[in-house]
Amino acid sequence: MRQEILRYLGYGADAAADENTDQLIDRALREVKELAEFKYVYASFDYPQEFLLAHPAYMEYLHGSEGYLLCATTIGIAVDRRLKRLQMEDMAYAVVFDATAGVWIERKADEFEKGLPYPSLGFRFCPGYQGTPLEDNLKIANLVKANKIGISFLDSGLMIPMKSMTGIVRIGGDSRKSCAGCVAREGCAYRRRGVTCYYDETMKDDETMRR
Amino acid sequence: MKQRLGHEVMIFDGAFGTELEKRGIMSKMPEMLNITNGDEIADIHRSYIEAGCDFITTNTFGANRIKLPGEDIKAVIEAAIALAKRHRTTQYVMCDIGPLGKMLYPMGELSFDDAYEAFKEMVLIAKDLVDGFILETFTDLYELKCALLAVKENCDKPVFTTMTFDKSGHTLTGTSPRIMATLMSNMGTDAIGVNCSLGPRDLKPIVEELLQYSDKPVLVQPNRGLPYIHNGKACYTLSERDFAETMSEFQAAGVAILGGCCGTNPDFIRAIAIHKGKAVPERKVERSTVITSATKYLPMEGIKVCGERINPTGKKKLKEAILNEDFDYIFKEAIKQEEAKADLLDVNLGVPKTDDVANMKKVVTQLSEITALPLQIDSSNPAAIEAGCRYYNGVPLINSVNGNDSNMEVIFPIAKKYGAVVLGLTMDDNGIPQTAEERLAIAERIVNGAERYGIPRHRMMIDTLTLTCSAQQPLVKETLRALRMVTEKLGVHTALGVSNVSFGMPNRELINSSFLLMSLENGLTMPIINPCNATMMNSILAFKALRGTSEDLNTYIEDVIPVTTVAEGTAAAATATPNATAPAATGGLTLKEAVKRGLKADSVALTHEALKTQPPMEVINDILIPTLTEVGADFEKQRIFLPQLISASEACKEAFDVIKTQFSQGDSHKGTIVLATVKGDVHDIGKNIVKVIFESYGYKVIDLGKDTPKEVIKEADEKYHPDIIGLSALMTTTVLSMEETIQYLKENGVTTPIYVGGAVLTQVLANEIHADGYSKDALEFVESVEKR
Repeated sequence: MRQEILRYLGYGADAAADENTDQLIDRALREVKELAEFKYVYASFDYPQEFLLAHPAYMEYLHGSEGYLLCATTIGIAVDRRLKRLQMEDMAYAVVFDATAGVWIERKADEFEKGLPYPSLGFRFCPGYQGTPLEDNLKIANLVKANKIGISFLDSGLMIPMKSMTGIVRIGGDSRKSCAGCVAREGCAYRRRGVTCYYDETMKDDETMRR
Repeated sequence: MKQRLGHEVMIFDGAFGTELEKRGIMSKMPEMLNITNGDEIADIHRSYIEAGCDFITTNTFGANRIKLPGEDIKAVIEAAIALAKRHRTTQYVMCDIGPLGKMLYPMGELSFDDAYEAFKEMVLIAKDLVDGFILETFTDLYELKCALLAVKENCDKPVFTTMTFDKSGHTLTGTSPRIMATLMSNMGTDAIGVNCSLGPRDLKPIVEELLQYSDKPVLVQPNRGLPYIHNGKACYTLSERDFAETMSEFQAAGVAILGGCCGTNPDFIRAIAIHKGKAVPERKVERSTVITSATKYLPMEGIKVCGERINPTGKKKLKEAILNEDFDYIFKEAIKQEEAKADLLDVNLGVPKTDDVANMKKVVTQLSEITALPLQIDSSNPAAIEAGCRYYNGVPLINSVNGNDSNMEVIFPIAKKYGAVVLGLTMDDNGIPQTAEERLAIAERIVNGAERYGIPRHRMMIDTLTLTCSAQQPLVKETLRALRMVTEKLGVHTALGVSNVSFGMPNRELINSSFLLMSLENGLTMPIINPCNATMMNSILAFKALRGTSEDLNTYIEDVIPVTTVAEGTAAAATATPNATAPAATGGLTLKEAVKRGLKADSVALTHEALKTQPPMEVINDILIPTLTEVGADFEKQRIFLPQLISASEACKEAFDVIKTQFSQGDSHKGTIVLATVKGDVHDIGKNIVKVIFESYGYKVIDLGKDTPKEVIKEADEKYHPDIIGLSALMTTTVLSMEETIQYLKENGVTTPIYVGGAVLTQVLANEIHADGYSKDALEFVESVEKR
């Protein structure tokens, strides 16, 4: 996870963290692990919901699939509380903690999906990707009853807890994340540094070497 | 109903949603079916009546103005109640109230008062038409408390409260069953319980805990196990028999009301109705003095340290902070005390010419997000005490009531309504009596007075009042004798503000810690002290080690804080620094290096050092500013990254602060910046980074926080006349709010340049929403302001 956390913090593909930042990441990994309460709900569908039909990017993603899951996931409110407090205590650590929590939920959700009883699942396609509307977060949340795992929405559409996601996961077929359809492709700070904003399993991860 | 409740087993109905699905009329707004599909709704009620239930739940779970905006709430609720009554014979009709679907402030943005109004509206419509209320499926204790107040303040019908817990054993917001049980029971719920959440077997530990910690009848409505959802339909697998088997165990353990939640149907209710009318078995309930936050349960046993730092008496900086409404200062004091191992925190905001009621509300509300510690609401103003109790999320400790009847008349009703524990002071109209016997007599009067108001003895504590040894030396031992007498004769726990004893004495710390030990030996439970003082905390560890178990001995060895005493006999020199950076060992390090590496303590020490030989402006211009420039350049060139940039900025700010306090020429700073995350946006980490960077450059930053209404920004502009207003927004949805804010400010005569920033903003977007400036990151922002 370390490389990914560094990417979130603005490091380039081959930039190494200084000793202090390394220690902050160690501490953040420890604390996020202790505080995070990973929860994931999903529902399976074999026909497209209306909001999916309304945006070509979804249909393109689902093309050739055998159905799909809608899902919502969160690592809970305790992480939010700690982050708020850390911002008063130690801002440098707070940004590292924030990045770590962000990576944590992505990884936990990936792991959870790997354990689901489907032979092959696509990557999680979240509202906002490829210009899809953020309002769809709420539609997905309602369909999977995300309130049951403690996700609620502000009027602006933001989710509480902050480290929460909703998404669509295709069943069957093959799909890989890429920057191809991304609206932020031009001028993307990640791409400029030679990395991507998402985790790619083919990337080298030095975490196991370190720990 | 109240005669039967808790004495004979009674039966609630089962799931509603599941039955709607079965009839093919499930809707996103099931409450509207009361209007459109009345016959089916009445039929579901009938099926549960036939199955043998004693209670019918109206189809009004989400019939509130937040979930059904624009709908005729009155018509929906009245229709629902009429349908529930259509086939009823002897059953009680309970108006169902669920959560509002929006998170309450400060976790979310719905205010406690708005939530209260939404619940109150439902209560007023239903109260004369139903037999009682059931508040169910709550996951946030704060919202449940709000709903319970809305019922109890507006009618006197019975009200049941249930929450949803998950496998971890607490609610989604971190509340344990015993915390819920304590607050709800203290506030006078008529039955308490758990619903939804899990299948019956998984609920077992939760039910057991409710039975142990609540003296109210316990209600259990489990799900039919955990469902999986396919094509929008929930599928359940648990059988009636398995369901009923566990419910029988609950009944035998003392549960008084049985029912079902998601997935159950009339067959499940029929299967549990065999227990109907049985006598509810006796059970043993914990009765101890307990205060809580939403997530921390604190029994007043052994020694519990109450942190005294948030009380302006004799604290100049805190007074100023309260006057300036600089609540961050207070929050930081809270964090420091929690880290120094305080068990609860005193909150007293009494400063003349301030609105202590409004301030109490703000601080108590926001502290719940900053610290998990329970609070002592401390004020001589009953209105401030009430505000503190009302907006507090948990069981508070009220400080204080005294032996005057007129005082008890005001304080006890507040304590009763909000379920508080109360600290009584052994004084009355005639002041503080001299002898221990007289103080005991007042204590007795207070405890008896409380019982008359329905506050049991275990919710009372007594402060026998510390007097100053320099002025009233003979009375010190009376305080101690009174402690012992109150503990032994009244059986209540005690508190003392310890440090009052040493006013006017040399080496106050020695007197304080000695008096603390003497008090503990005489039975003191709750010393009110400064937990950041190592000597005091060490004294408690030592007392426990000498007095307690072998475990206490180990705790002493592990936790005792090394005390470094400063020479020259300065009093109160030792402070606890459990987590702080070790005192600077600055050998060979320059100030510049210390700042660059983000070493705060070293930066402070080296700034002091530099000021011995250099004038302050030289330190700023020749060392600090060039260092910041270098750090900025390194960041631009990606030689360092965000965490290092922030660390260096924070260290630099500490250095600036040293210079400021040493050479205070009024309020000297480079300029003033107002920062806010716009309305609707709660992601404020970006804005906080900007704040750190600006402060490191010597600017004064007025931080308006997150989710900031445009009006507040306008007020700040008028009050502080800033050089720049900086607005932050994270997402495209909140950029709209940013645009509205800018438009409002400009239309209302604000001429201060408005800069914007945040993840999705670009120069193009900034132009579109008429911002005066845009920066891609914090550093660019400060640089562009520097150039102006």
